[in-house]
Amino acid sequence: MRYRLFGRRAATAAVLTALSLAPAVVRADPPDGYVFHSYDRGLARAATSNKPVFLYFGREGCGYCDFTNKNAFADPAVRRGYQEHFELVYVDSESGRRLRLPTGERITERELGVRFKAFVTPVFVFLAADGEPILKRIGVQSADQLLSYHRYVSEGHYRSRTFEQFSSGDG
Amino acid sequence: MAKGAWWFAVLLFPAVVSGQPWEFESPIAVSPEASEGIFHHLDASGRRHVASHHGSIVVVWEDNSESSPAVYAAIMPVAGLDFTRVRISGRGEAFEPVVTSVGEDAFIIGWEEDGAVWTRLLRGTTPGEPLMLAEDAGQLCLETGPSGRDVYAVWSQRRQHYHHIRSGRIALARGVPLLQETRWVDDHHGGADQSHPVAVYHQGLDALLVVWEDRRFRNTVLMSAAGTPAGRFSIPMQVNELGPPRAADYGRGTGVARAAAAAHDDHVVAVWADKRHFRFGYDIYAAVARYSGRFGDNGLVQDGFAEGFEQWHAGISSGGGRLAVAWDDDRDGTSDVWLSWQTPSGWSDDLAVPGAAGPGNDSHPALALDRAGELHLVWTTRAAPDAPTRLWYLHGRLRAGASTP
Repeated sequence: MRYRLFGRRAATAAVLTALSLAPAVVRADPPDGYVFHSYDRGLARAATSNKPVFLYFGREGCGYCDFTNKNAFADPAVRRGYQEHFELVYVDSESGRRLRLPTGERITERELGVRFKAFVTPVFVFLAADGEPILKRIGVQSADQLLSYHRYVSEGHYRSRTFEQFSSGDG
Repeated sequence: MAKGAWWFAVLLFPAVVSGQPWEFESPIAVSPEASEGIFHHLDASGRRHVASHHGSIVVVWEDNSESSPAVYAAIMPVAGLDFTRVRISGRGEAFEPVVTSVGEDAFIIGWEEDGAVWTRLLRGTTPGEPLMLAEDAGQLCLETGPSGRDVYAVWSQRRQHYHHIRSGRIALARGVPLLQETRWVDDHHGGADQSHPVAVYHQGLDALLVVWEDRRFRNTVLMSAAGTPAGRFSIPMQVNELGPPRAADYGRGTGVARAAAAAHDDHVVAVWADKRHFRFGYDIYAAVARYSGRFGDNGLVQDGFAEGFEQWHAGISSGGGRLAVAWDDDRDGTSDVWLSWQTPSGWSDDLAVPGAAGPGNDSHPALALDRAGELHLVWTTRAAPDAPTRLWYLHGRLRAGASTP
Protein backbone atom coordinates (compact mmCIF):
# COMPACT_ATOMS: atom_id res chain seq x y z
CA MET A 1 0.00 0.00 0.00
CA ARG A 2 1.26 3.46 -0.76
CA TYR A 3 0.39 6.06 1.78
CA ARG A 4 -0.43 9.67 1.18
CA LEU A 5 1.84 11.88 3.18
CA PHE A 6 1.47 15.32 1.62
CA GLY A 7 -1.93 15.28 -0.03
CA ARG A 8 -3.01 14.44 -3.52
CA ARG A 9 -1.41 17.39 -5.25
CA ALA A 10 2.07 16.78 -4.00
CA ALA A 11 4.67 16.20 -6.68
CA THR A 12 5.32 12.55 -7.45
CA ALA A 13 9.02 12.93 -6.79
CA ALA A 14 8.38 14.42 -3.39
CA VAL A 15 6.03 11.60 -2.50
CA LEU A 16 8.49 8.95 -3.61
CA THR A 17 11.26 10.59 -1.64
CA ALA A 18 9.05 10.85 1.40
CA LEU A 19 7.99 7.24 1.07
CA SER A 20 11.57 6.11 1.05
CA LEU A 21 12.12 8.04 4.29
CA ALA A 22 8.83 7.13 5.95
CA PRO A 23 8.84 4.91 9.00
CA ALA A 24 8.36 1.29 8.07
CA VAL A 25 4.82 0.00 8.29
CA VAL A 26 3.71 -3.61 8.26
CA ARG A 27 7.31 -4.72 8.32
CA ALA A 28 8.88 -7.71 9.93
CA ASP A 29 12.14 -8.30 11.68
CA PRO A 30 15.51 -7.87 9.98
CA PRO A 31 18.54 -8.60 12.18
CA ASP A 32 19.69 -5.95 14.62
CA GLY A 33 22.67 -3.79 13.78
CA TYR A 34 22.24 -3.87 10.01
CA VAL A 35 20.99 -1.23 7.62
CA PHE A 36 18.50 -2.94 5.32
CA HIS A 37 16.78 -1.15 2.47
CA SER A 38 13.59 -1.67 0.51
CA TYR A 39 13.89 -3.73 -2.67
CA ASP A 40 13.67 -0.69 -4.97
CA ARG A 41 16.17 1.29 -3.00
CA GLY A 42 18.56 -1.63 -2.64
CA LEU A 43 18.61 -2.32 -6.38
CA ALA A 44 19.02 1.37 -7.12
CA ARG A 45 21.95 1.54 -4.72
CA ALA A 46 23.49 -1.56 -6.30
CA ALA A 47 23.29 0.01 -9.74
CA THR A 48 25.42 2.86 -8.42
CA SER A 49 27.73 1.03 -6.04
CA ASN A 50 28.08 -2.07 -8.24
CA LYS A 51 27.85 -4.19 -5.09
CA PRO A 52 25.90 -7.47 -5.08
CA VAL A 53 22.52 -7.45 -3.37
CA PHE A 54 21.75 -9.61 -0.36
CA LEU A 55 18.01 -10.22 -0.29
CA TYR A 56 16.49 -11.45 2.98
CA PHE A 57 12.90 -12.78 2.85
CA GLY A 58 11.47 -12.91 6.36
CA ARG A 59 8.17 -12.39 8.06
CA GLU A 60 7.07 -11.06 11.39
CA GLY A 61 7.15 -13.76 14.04
CA CYS A 62 9.35 -16.11 11.98
CA GLY A 63 11.11 -18.43 14.42
CA TYR A 64 13.88 -19.53 12.08
CA CYS A 65 14.56 -15.93 11.08
CA ASP A 66 14.82 -15.06 14.74
CA PHE A 67 17.17 -17.98 15.36
CA THR A 68 19.39 -17.03 12.41
CA ASN A 69 19.39 -13.37 13.42
CA LYS A 70 20.50 -14.15 16.97
CA ASN A 71 22.97 -16.89 16.17
CA ALA A 72 24.48 -16.00 12.81
CA PHE A 73 23.81 -12.39 11.87
CA ALA A 74 24.95 -11.34 15.36
CA ASP A 75 28.46 -12.52 14.46
CA PRO A 76 30.71 -9.43 14.10
CA ALA A 77 32.51 -10.83 11.03
CA VAL A 78 29.20 -11.50 9.31
CA ARG A 79 27.94 -8.03 10.17
CA ARG A 80 31.11 -6.37 8.94
CA GLY A 81 31.32 -8.37 5.71
CA TYR A 82 27.66 -8.06 4.76
CA GLN A 83 27.42 -4.38 5.62
CA GLU A 84 30.58 -3.56 3.70
CA HIS A 85 30.23 -5.64 0.57
CA PHE A 86 26.50 -6.02 -0.10
CA GLU A 87 23.50 -3.82 -0.59
CA LEU A 88 21.16 -5.26 2.02
CA VAL A 89 17.46 -5.68 1.18
CA TYR A 90 14.83 -6.97 3.56
CA VAL A 91 11.48 -8.17 2.22
CA ASP A 92 8.55 -8.96 4.49
CA SER A 93 7.09 -11.88 2.58
CA GLU A 94 3.58 -11.22 3.93
CA SER A 95 3.53 -7.49 3.30
CA GLY A 96 1.36 -5.59 0.85
CA ARG A 97 4.00 -2.87 0.47
CA ARG A 98 4.58 -2.14 -3.22
CA LEU A 99 7.85 -2.22 -5.11
CA ARG A 100 9.01 -1.88 -8.70
CA LEU A 101 10.84 -4.71 -10.47
CA PRO A 102 13.65 -4.04 -12.96
CA THR A 103 11.10 -4.87 -15.71
CA GLY A 104 8.99 -1.94 -14.50
CA GLU A 105 6.28 -4.21 -13.08
CA ARG A 106 4.73 -3.06 -9.81
CA ILE A 107 4.07 -5.82 -7.31
CA THR A 108 3.89 -6.26 -3.55
CA GLU A 109 6.58 -7.64 -1.30
CA ARG A 110 4.45 -10.74 -0.88
CA GLU A 111 4.32 -11.22 -4.64
CA LEU A 112 8.10 -10.82 -4.81
CA GLY A 113 8.22 -13.73 -2.38
CA VAL A 114 6.05 -15.74 -4.75
CA ARG A 115 8.43 -14.96 -7.65
CA PHE A 116 11.46 -16.04 -5.63
CA LYS A 117 9.53 -19.02 -4.26
CA ALA A 118 10.00 -17.88 -0.70
CA PHE A 119 7.62 -20.56 0.51
CA VAL A 120 9.32 -20.73 3.89
CA THR A 121 11.22 -18.09 5.82
CA PRO A 122 13.95 -17.16 5.98
CA VAL A 123 15.04 -17.30 2.34
CA PHE A 124 18.29 -15.61 1.35
CA VAL A 125 19.04 -14.65 -2.24
CA PHE A 126 22.24 -13.11 -3.52
CA LEU A 127 21.83 -11.01 -6.64
CA ALA A 128 24.43 -9.47 -8.92
CA ALA A 129 24.35 -5.68 -9.08
CA ASP A 130 22.18 -5.95 -12.20
CA GLY A 131 19.60 -8.04 -10.33
CA GLU A 132 20.55 -11.44 -11.75
CA PRO A 133 20.28 -14.22 -9.13
CA ILE A 134 23.56 -15.78 -7.99
CA LEU A 135 22.74 -18.01 -5.05
CA LYS A 136 19.67 -18.91 -3.01
CA ARG A 137 19.65 -20.46 0.45
CA ILE A 138 16.59 -21.55 2.43
CA GLY A 139 16.15 -21.80 6.19
CA VAL A 140 18.43 -21.45 9.19
CA GLN A 141 22.05 -20.60 8.38
CA SER A 142 25.13 -20.55 10.60
CA ALA A 143 27.65 -17.72 10.76
CA ASP A 144 30.19 -19.94 9.00
CA GLN A 145 27.73 -20.57 6.17
CA LEU A 146 26.97 -16.88 5.83
CA LEU A 147 30.67 -16.11 5.70
CA SER A 148 31.19 -18.78 3.07
CA TYR A 149 28.41 -17.27 0.90
CA HIS A 150 29.97 -13.87 1.47
CA ARG A 151 33.31 -15.03 0.07
CA TYR A 152 31.70 -16.84 -2.85
CA VAL A 153 29.73 -13.80 -3.94
CA SER A 154 31.84 -10.80 -2.94
CA GLU A 155 35.06 -12.29 -4.34
CA GLY A 156 33.35 -13.15 -7.62
CA HIS A 157 33.81 -16.93 -7.49
CA TYR A 158 30.26 -17.35 -8.74
CA ARG A 159 31.39 -16.21 -12.17
CA SER A 160 33.46 -19.36 -12.69
CA ARG A 161 31.98 -22.11 -10.53
CA THR A 162 28.98 -23.28 -8.62
CA PHE A 163 28.81 -22.79 -4.90
CA GLU A 164 29.17 -26.53 -4.43
CA GLN A 165 32.40 -26.52 -6.44
CA PHE A 166 33.61 -23.50 -4.51
CA SER A 167 32.84 -24.94 -1.10
CA SER A 168 34.45 -28.30 -1.92
CA GLY A 169 37.57 -26.60 -3.23
CA ASP A 170 37.09 -27.81 -6.82
CA GLY A 171 37.47 -25.74 -9.94
CA MET B 1 4.46 -20.34 -23.66
CA ALA B 2 5.86 -18.57 -26.71
CA LYS B 3 4.33 -15.33 -27.92
CA GLY B 4 1.28 -16.08 -30.00
CA ALA B 5 1.08 -19.64 -28.84
CA TRP B 6 -1.95 -18.85 -26.71
CA TRP B 7 -4.00 -18.26 -29.82
CA PHE B 8 -2.82 -21.60 -31.11
CA ALA B 9 -3.82 -23.22 -27.83
CA VAL B 10 -7.22 -21.58 -27.97
CA LEU B 11 -7.75 -22.85 -31.51
CA LEU B 12 -6.95 -26.36 -30.36
CA PHE B 13 -9.20 -26.05 -27.32
CA PRO B 14 -12.47 -27.89 -27.98
CA ALA B 15 -15.69 -25.95 -27.62
CA VAL B 16 -16.44 -27.72 -24.36
CA VAL B 17 -13.90 -29.55 -22.22
CA SER B 18 -14.97 -31.96 -19.57
CA GLY B 19 -12.93 -31.80 -16.41
CA GLN B 20 -14.88 -34.32 -14.35
CA PRO B 21 -17.41 -33.39 -13.14
CA TRP B 22 -17.18 -29.91 -14.65
CA GLU B 23 -17.70 -28.81 -18.21
CA PHE B 24 -15.77 -25.77 -19.39
CA GLU B 25 -16.25 -23.54 -22.40
CA SER B 26 -13.25 -22.30 -24.38
CA PRO B 27 -11.22 -19.63 -22.57
CA ILE B 28 -11.88 -16.07 -23.71
CA ALA B 29 -9.11 -13.49 -23.73
CA VAL B 30 -9.98 -10.49 -21.58
CA SER B 31 -6.86 -8.54 -22.56
CA PRO B 32 -5.00 -8.27 -25.87
CA GLU B 33 -2.10 -10.59 -26.62
CA ALA B 34 0.78 -10.26 -24.15
CA SER B 35 3.19 -7.52 -25.14
CA GLU B 36 6.54 -6.45 -23.79
CA GLY B 37 6.42 -4.53 -20.54
CA ILE B 38 2.67 -4.93 -19.95
CA PHE B 39 1.62 -6.63 -16.72
CA HIS B 40 -1.89 -7.50 -15.54
CA HIS B 41 -2.62 -8.06 -11.89
CA LEU B 42 -5.42 -9.74 -9.97
CA ASP B 43 -4.32 -9.15 -6.41
CA ALA B 44 -7.03 -7.33 -4.47
CA SER B 45 -7.95 -8.14 -0.91
CA GLY B 46 -10.50 -10.98 -1.05
CA ARG B 47 -9.78 -11.61 -4.76
CA ARG B 48 -13.19 -10.36 -5.94
CA HIS B 49 -12.16 -9.60 -9.49
CA VAL B 50 -15.14 -11.10 -11.28
CA ALA B 51 -18.89 -10.85 -10.75
CA SER B 52 -21.89 -12.18 -12.63
CA HIS B 53 -25.33 -10.67 -12.26
CA HIS B 54 -28.47 -10.69 -14.40
CA GLY B 55 -26.71 -12.18 -17.39
CA SER B 56 -23.65 -9.91 -17.37
CA ILE B 57 -20.07 -10.63 -16.39
CA VAL B 58 -17.70 -7.94 -15.16
CA VAL B 59 -13.97 -8.51 -14.71
CA VAL B 60 -11.75 -5.91 -13.02
CA TRP B 61 -7.97 -5.78 -12.92
CA GLU B 62 -4.97 -3.45 -12.93
CA ASP B 63 -2.43 -3.13 -15.72
CA ASN B 64 0.13 -0.64 -17.04
CA SER B 65 -0.92 -0.68 -20.70
CA GLU B 66 -1.30 3.12 -20.58
CA SER B 67 2.16 3.50 -19.02
CA SER B 68 1.23 3.74 -15.33
CA PRO B 69 -0.83 1.26 -13.30
CA ALA B 70 -4.56 1.82 -13.87
CA VAL B 71 -7.77 -0.06 -13.17
CA TYR B 72 -9.97 -1.43 -15.93
CA ALA B 73 -13.22 -3.32 -16.24
CA ALA B 74 -14.31 -5.69 -19.00
CA ILE B 75 -17.99 -6.37 -19.53
CA MET B 76 -19.65 -9.18 -21.47
CA PRO B 77 -23.01 -10.97 -21.58
CA VAL B 78 -22.76 -14.47 -20.09
CA ALA B 79 -23.15 -16.04 -23.53
CA GLY B 80 -20.85 -13.52 -25.19
CA LEU B 81 -17.57 -14.04 -26.96
CA ASP B 82 -15.86 -10.66 -26.53
CA PHE B 83 -15.40 -8.28 -23.65
CA THR B 84 -15.85 -4.53 -23.86
CA ARG B 85 -13.05 -2.81 -21.97
CA VAL B 86 -13.53 0.39 -19.94
CA ARG B 87 -11.02 2.40 -17.92
CA ILE B 88 -12.27 2.87 -14.37
CA SER B 89 -9.54 4.69 -12.46
CA GLY B 90 -8.49 8.31 -12.87
CA ARG B 91 -5.09 9.74 -13.73
CA GLY B 92 -3.26 8.51 -10.63
CA GLU B 93 -1.56 5.19 -10.05
CA ALA B 94 -4.36 2.75 -9.29
CA PHE B 95 -4.30 -0.75 -7.87
CA GLU B 96 -6.25 -3.69 -6.46
CA PRO B 97 -9.75 -3.36 -7.94
CA VAL B 98 -12.76 -5.34 -6.76
CA VAL B 99 -16.30 -5.65 -8.09
CA THR B 100 -19.72 -6.64 -6.80
CA SER B 101 -23.27 -6.34 -8.07
CA VAL B 102 -25.80 -3.79 -6.88
CA GLY B 103 -29.43 -3.21 -7.81
CA GLU B 104 -31.04 -4.82 -10.82
CA ASP B 105 -28.52 -4.07 -13.49
CA ALA B 106 -25.40 -2.47 -12.07
CA PHE B 107 -22.05 -3.22 -10.49
CA ILE B 108 -19.91 -1.26 -8.07
CA ILE B 109 -16.17 -1.26 -8.63
CA GLY B 110 -13.71 -0.27 -5.93
CA TRP B 111 -9.98 0.39 -6.11
CA GLU B 112 -7.05 2.24 -4.59
CA GLU B 113 -5.69 5.34 -6.30
CA ASP B 114 -3.09 7.81 -5.05
CA GLY B 115 -3.34 6.43 -1.54
CA ALA B 116 -7.15 6.68 -1.29
CA VAL B 117 -9.92 4.15 -1.84
CA TRP B 118 -12.60 4.87 -4.43
CA THR B 119 -15.75 3.34 -5.85
CA ARG B 120 -17.65 3.87 -9.04
CA LEU B 121 -20.96 2.54 -10.32
CA LEU B 122 -20.91 0.66 -13.62
CA ARG B 123 -24.18 0.36 -15.51
CA GLY B 124 -23.79 -1.37 -18.86
CA THR B 125 -20.42 -0.16 -20.06
CA THR B 126 -20.87 3.33 -18.64
CA PRO B 127 -19.08 4.23 -15.39
CA GLY B 128 -20.64 6.78 -13.10
CA GLU B 129 -18.89 9.48 -11.11
CA PRO B 130 -16.10 8.25 -8.82
CA LEU B 131 -16.73 8.41 -5.07
CA MET B 132 -13.80 8.58 -2.66
CA LEU B 133 -14.38 6.48 0.46
CA ALA B 134 -11.27 7.34 2.46
CA GLU B 135 -7.82 8.87 2.23
CA ASP B 136 -4.63 7.27 3.48
CA ALA B 137 -6.24 3.92 2.78
CA GLY B 138 -6.06 0.84 0.56
CA GLN B 139 -6.96 -2.84 0.24
CA LEU B 140 -10.64 -2.26 -0.39
CA CYS B 141 -13.13 -5.13 -0.45
CA LEU B 142 -16.82 -4.85 -1.42
CA GLU B 143 -19.79 -7.05 -0.53
CA THR B 144 -23.37 -6.75 -1.78
CA GLY B 145 -25.80 -6.23 1.10
CA PRO B 146 -28.76 -8.52 1.80
CA SER B 147 -31.23 -6.30 -0.02
CA GLY B 148 -29.05 -6.27 -3.12
CA ARG B 149 -29.50 -2.51 -3.27
CA ASP B 150 -26.55 -1.46 -1.13
CA VAL B 151 -22.94 -2.51 -0.73
CA TYR B 152 -20.68 -2.96 2.29
CA ALA B 153 -17.11 -1.76 1.98
CA VAL B 154 -14.11 -2.52 4.17
CA TRP B 155 -10.59 -1.18 3.79
CA SER B 156 -7.34 -0.64 5.67
CA GLN B 157 -6.82 2.99 6.74
CA ARG B 158 -4.16 4.82 8.68
CA ARG B 159 -5.22 5.52 12.26
CA GLN B 160 -2.42 7.40 14.00
CA HIS B 161 0.63 5.13 13.84
CA TYR B 162 -0.99 2.01 12.39
CA HIS B 163 -3.41 0.92 9.74
CA HIS B 164 -6.72 -0.40 10.96
CA ILE B 165 -9.80 -1.82 9.30
CA ARG B 166 -12.68 0.52 8.60
CA SER B 167 -16.10 -0.34 7.25
CA GLY B 168 -18.84 1.59 5.55
CA ARG B 169 -22.07 1.12 3.68
CA ILE B 170 -22.62 2.43 0.18
CA ALA B 171 -26.23 3.17 -0.64
CA LEU B 172 -27.61 4.19 -4.00
CA ALA B 173 -29.44 7.52 -3.86
CA ARG B 174 -31.26 7.95 -7.17
CA GLY B 175 -28.67 5.70 -8.76
CA VAL B 176 -25.69 7.57 -7.28
CA PRO B 177 -23.46 5.83 -4.69
CA LEU B 178 -23.41 7.52 -1.28
CA LEU B 179 -21.13 6.51 1.58
CA GLN B 180 -22.82 6.03 4.97
CA GLU B 181 -22.14 4.60 8.41
CA THR B 182 -18.36 4.38 8.41
CA ARG B 183 -16.70 3.03 11.54
CA TRP B 184 -13.61 1.22 12.78
CA VAL B 185 -14.12 -2.51 12.94
CA ASP B 186 -11.89 -3.01 15.99
CA ASP B 187 -12.10 -0.37 18.69
CA HIS B 188 -10.42 -2.56 21.24
CA HIS B 189 -6.84 -2.76 20.01
CA GLY B 190 -4.65 -0.03 18.65
CA GLY B 191 -1.07 -1.21 18.80
CA ALA B 192 -0.51 -3.06 15.54
CA ASP B 193 -1.27 -3.00 11.85
CA GLN B 194 -4.38 -4.56 10.40
CA SER B 195 -4.60 -5.23 6.68
CA HIS B 196 -6.23 -7.08 3.79
CA PRO B 197 -9.84 -7.15 5.03
CA VAL B 198 -12.63 -9.22 3.53
CA ALA B 199 -16.32 -8.54 4.15
CA VAL B 200 -19.13 -11.08 3.95
CA TYR B 201 -22.77 -10.70 4.84
CA HIS B 202 -23.65 -13.48 7.31
CA GLN B 203 -27.28 -14.34 6.71
CA GLY B 204 -27.62 -16.44 9.85
CA LEU B 205 -26.48 -13.53 12.01
CA ASP B 206 -27.90 -10.74 9.85
CA ALA B 207 -24.50 -9.15 10.27
CA LEU B 208 -21.45 -8.13 8.35
CA LEU B 209 -18.56 -10.48 9.09
CA VAL B 210 -15.09 -9.01 8.52
CA VAL B 211 -11.90 -11.07 8.36
CA TRP B 212 -8.48 -9.40 8.26
CA GLU B 213 -4.76 -9.88 8.80
CA ASP B 214 -3.59 -8.62 12.17
CA ARG B 215 -0.15 -8.28 13.75
CA ARG B 216 -1.16 -7.65 17.35
CA PHE B 217 0.70 -10.75 18.50
CA ARG B 218 3.82 -9.80 16.49
CA ASN B 219 3.10 -12.44 13.89
CA THR B 220 0.35 -12.34 11.31
CA VAL B 221 -2.93 -13.90 12.40
CA LEU B 222 -6.41 -13.74 10.94
CA MET B 223 -9.02 -12.03 13.08
CA SER B 224 -12.74 -11.66 12.53
CA ALA B 225 -15.54 -9.58 13.98
CA ALA B 226 -19.25 -9.30 13.25
CA GLY B 227 -21.23 -6.09 13.17
CA THR B 228 -24.89 -5.37 12.70
CA PRO B 229 -25.61 -2.69 10.12
CA ALA B 230 -26.14 0.10 12.64
CA GLY B 231 -24.27 -1.25 15.64
CA ARG B 232 -20.78 -1.95 16.85
CA PHE B 233 -18.59 -4.84 15.89
CA SER B 234 -18.03 -7.75 18.23
CA ILE B 235 -14.73 -8.29 20.00
CA PRO B 236 -12.33 -9.76 17.41
CA MET B 237 -11.67 -13.49 17.52
CA GLN B 238 -8.76 -15.33 15.94
CA VAL B 239 -9.66 -17.36 12.84
CA ASN B 240 -6.53 -19.43 12.22
CA GLU B 241 -5.45 -22.06 14.69
CA LEU B 242 -1.89 -22.13 15.94
CA GLY B 243 0.56 -24.37 14.16
CA PRO B 244 2.70 -27.12 15.68
CA PRO B 245 4.72 -26.02 18.70
CA ARG B 246 8.17 -24.58 18.00
CA ALA B 247 11.29 -23.96 19.97
CA ALA B 248 10.11 -21.73 22.77
CA ASP B 249 12.90 -19.18 22.49
CA TYR B 250 12.43 -18.21 18.88
CA GLY B 251 9.69 -16.70 16.80
CA ARG B 252 6.16 -15.86 17.74
CA GLY B 253 4.03 -18.06 15.51
CA THR B 254 3.31 -19.43 12.08
CA GLY B 255 2.39 -17.32 9.09
CA VAL B 256 -0.92 -16.77 7.38
CA ALA B 257 -1.80 -14.50 4.49
CA ARG B 258 -4.55 -13.23 2.25
CA ALA B 259 -7.94 -14.45 3.35
CA ALA B 260 -10.92 -14.73 1.04
CA ALA B 261 -14.44 -15.52 2.20
CA ALA B 262 -17.91 -16.26 0.92
CA ALA B 263 -21.39 -16.57 2.36
CA HIS B 264 -22.70 -20.09 1.82
CA ASP B 265 -26.25 -20.93 2.91
CA ASP B 266 -26.58 -19.36 6.34
CA HIS B 267 -22.91 -19.41 7.26
CA VAL B 268 -19.60 -17.98 6.06
CA VAL B 269 -16.56 -19.88 4.80
CA ALA B 270 -13.10 -18.31 4.83
CA VAL B 271 -9.99 -19.62 3.08
CA TRP B 272 -6.41 -18.43 3.33
CA ALA B 273 -2.77 -19.37 2.81
CA ASP B 274 -1.38 -20.94 5.98
CA LYS B 275 2.18 -21.94 6.75
CA ARG B 276 1.58 -24.00 9.89
CA HIS B 277 3.35 -26.95 8.23
CA PHE B 278 6.26 -24.77 7.37
CA ARG B 279 8.50 -27.20 5.45
CA PHE B 280 6.25 -27.19 2.41
CA GLY B 281 5.22 -23.57 2.43
CA TYR B 282 1.72 -22.22 2.38
CA ASP B 283 -1.29 -24.55 2.21
CA ILE B 284 -4.90 -23.54 1.64
CA TYR B 285 -6.97 -23.82 4.81
CA ALA B 286 -10.65 -23.13 5.39
CA ALA B 287 -12.90 -22.49 8.38
CA VAL B 288 -16.64 -22.01 8.79
CA ALA B 289 -18.42 -19.39 10.89
CA ARG B 290 -21.90 -20.59 11.83
CA TYR B 291 -24.47 -18.94 14.08
CA SER B 292 -22.01 -17.79 16.72
CA GLY B 293 -20.17 -15.78 14.09
CA ARG B 294 -16.95 -17.35 15.31
CA PHE B 295 -14.87 -19.43 12.93
CA GLY B 296 -14.42 -23.04 13.98
CA ASP B 297 -11.95 -25.81 13.25
CA ASN B 298 -9.54 -25.19 10.41
CA GLY B 299 -9.41 -27.76 7.61
CA LEU B 300 -7.14 -28.34 4.65
CA VAL B 301 -8.80 -27.62 1.30
CA GLN B 302 -6.26 -29.07 -1.11
CA ASP B 303 -5.83 -32.82 -1.55
CA GLY B 304 -2.87 -35.04 -0.68
CA PHE B 305 -1.28 -34.69 -4.12
CA ALA B 306 -0.55 -31.06 -3.29
CA GLU B 307 1.61 -32.03 -0.33
CA GLY B 308 5.16 -30.85 -0.81
CA PHE B 309 4.11 -27.89 -2.96
CA GLU B 310 3.26 -24.40 -1.89
CA GLN B 311 -0.15 -22.94 -2.73
CA TRP B 312 -0.87 -19.30 -3.49
CA HIS B 313 -3.71 -16.90 -4.26
CA ALA B 314 -6.77 -18.63 -2.86
CA GLY B 315 -10.19 -17.33 -3.83
CA ILE B 316 -13.62 -18.63 -2.91
CA SER B 317 -17.18 -18.19 -4.14
CA SER B 318 -20.63 -19.53 -3.41
CA GLY B 319 -23.68 -19.57 -5.64
CA GLY B 320 -26.57 -21.81 -6.58
CA GLY B 321 -25.96 -23.92 -3.48
CA ARG B 322 -22.37 -24.62 -4.51
CA LEU B 323 -19.10 -23.58 -2.99
CA ALA B 324 -15.74 -23.62 -4.78
CA VAL B 325 -12.16 -22.58 -4.06
CA ALA B 326 -9.46 -21.81 -6.64
CA TRP B 327 -5.73 -21.26 -6.19
CA ASP B 328 -2.48 -21.82 -8.03
CA ASP B 329 0.41 -24.20 -7.41
CA ASP B 330 3.15 -25.79 -9.50
CA ARG B 331 2.87 -29.46 -8.56
CA ASP B 332 2.89 -30.34 -12.29
CA GLY B 333 6.02 -28.37 -13.09
CA THR B 334 4.61 -24.92 -13.86
CA SER B 335 2.02 -22.88 -12.08
CA ASP B 336 -1.54 -24.04 -12.81
CA VAL B 337 -4.97 -23.00 -11.58
CA TRP B 338 -6.58 -25.61 -9.34
CA LEU B 339 -10.19 -25.95 -8.27
CA SER B 340 -11.81 -27.74 -5.34
CA TRP B 341 -15.48 -27.67 -4.48
CA GLN B 342 -17.60 -28.76 -1.58
CA THR B 343 -19.13 -32.22 -1.78
CA PRO B 344 -21.22 -34.17 0.74
CA SER B 345 -18.01 -35.76 2.01
CA GLY B 346 -15.94 -32.58 2.17
CA TRP B 347 -13.68 -30.83 -0.32
CA SER B 348 -13.36 -32.56 -3.68
CA ASP B 349 -10.11 -33.83 -5.15
CA ASP B 350 -8.20 -30.98 -6.77
CA LEU B 351 -8.91 -30.33 -10.44
CA ALA B 352 -6.37 -28.66 -12.73
CA VAL B 353 -8.73 -26.38 -14.61
CA PRO B 354 -8.65 -27.19 -18.35
CA GLY B 355 -7.52 -24.08 -20.18
CA ALA B 356 -5.96 -22.66 -17.02
CA ALA B 357 -3.34 -25.36 -16.63
CA GLY B 358 -0.49 -26.77 -18.69
CA PRO B 359 2.60 -25.14 -20.22
CA GLY B 360 3.37 -21.60 -19.14
CA ASN B 361 2.35 -20.05 -15.85
CA ASP B 362 -1.37 -19.87 -15.07
CA SER B 363 -1.89 -18.10 -11.79
CA HIS B 364 -3.77 -15.58 -9.66
CA PRO B 365 -7.26 -17.03 -10.12
CA ALA B 366 -10.41 -15.24 -9.05
CA LEU B 367 -13.81 -16.86 -9.28
CA ALA B 368 -17.52 -16.21 -8.98
CA LEU B 369 -20.31 -18.75 -8.84
CA ASP B 370 -23.56 -17.27 -10.11
CA ARG B 371 -27.09 -17.97 -8.91
CA ALA B 372 -27.22 -21.08 -11.09
CA GLY B 373 -23.98 -22.34 -9.58
CA GLU B 374 -22.07 -21.77 -12.81
CA LEU B 375 -18.42 -20.86 -12.57
CA HIS B 376 -16.84 -17.66 -13.86
CA LEU B 377 -13.07 -17.82 -13.54
CA VAL B 378 -10.40 -15.27 -14.44
CA TRP B 379 -6.65 -15.65 -14.18
CA THR B 380 -3.37 -14.44 -15.64
CA THR B 381 -0.92 -16.26 -17.88
CA ARG B 382 2.73 -15.57 -18.57
CA ALA B 383 5.46 -17.54 -20.31
CA ALA B 384 7.96 -17.00 -17.46
CA PRO B 385 7.88 -15.30 -14.06
CA ASP B 386 9.04 -11.93 -15.43
CA ALA B 387 7.36 -12.19 -18.83
CA PRO B 388 4.43 -10.01 -19.90
CA THR B 389 1.00 -11.22 -18.90
CA ARG B 390 -2.39 -11.87 -20.39
CA LEU B 391 -5.77 -12.05 -18.72
CA TRP B 392 -8.26 -14.86 -19.42
CA TYR B 393 -11.84 -15.77 -18.58
CA LEU B 394 -13.42 -19.22 -18.43
CA HIS B 395 -17.05 -20.28 -17.99
CA GLY B 396 -17.79 -23.67 -16.43
CA ARG B 397 -20.68 -25.64 -15.04
CA LEU B 398 -21.06 -28.78 -12.98
CA ARG B 399 -22.44 -31.64 -15.06
CA ALA B 400 -25.93 -32.87 -14.27
CA GLY B 401 -25.85 -35.38 -11.44
CA ALA B 402 -22.43 -34.27 -10.25
CA SER B 403 -21.85 -34.30 -6.53
CA THR B 404 -23.00 -31.11 -4.84
CA PRO B 405 -23.37 -30.14 -1.20
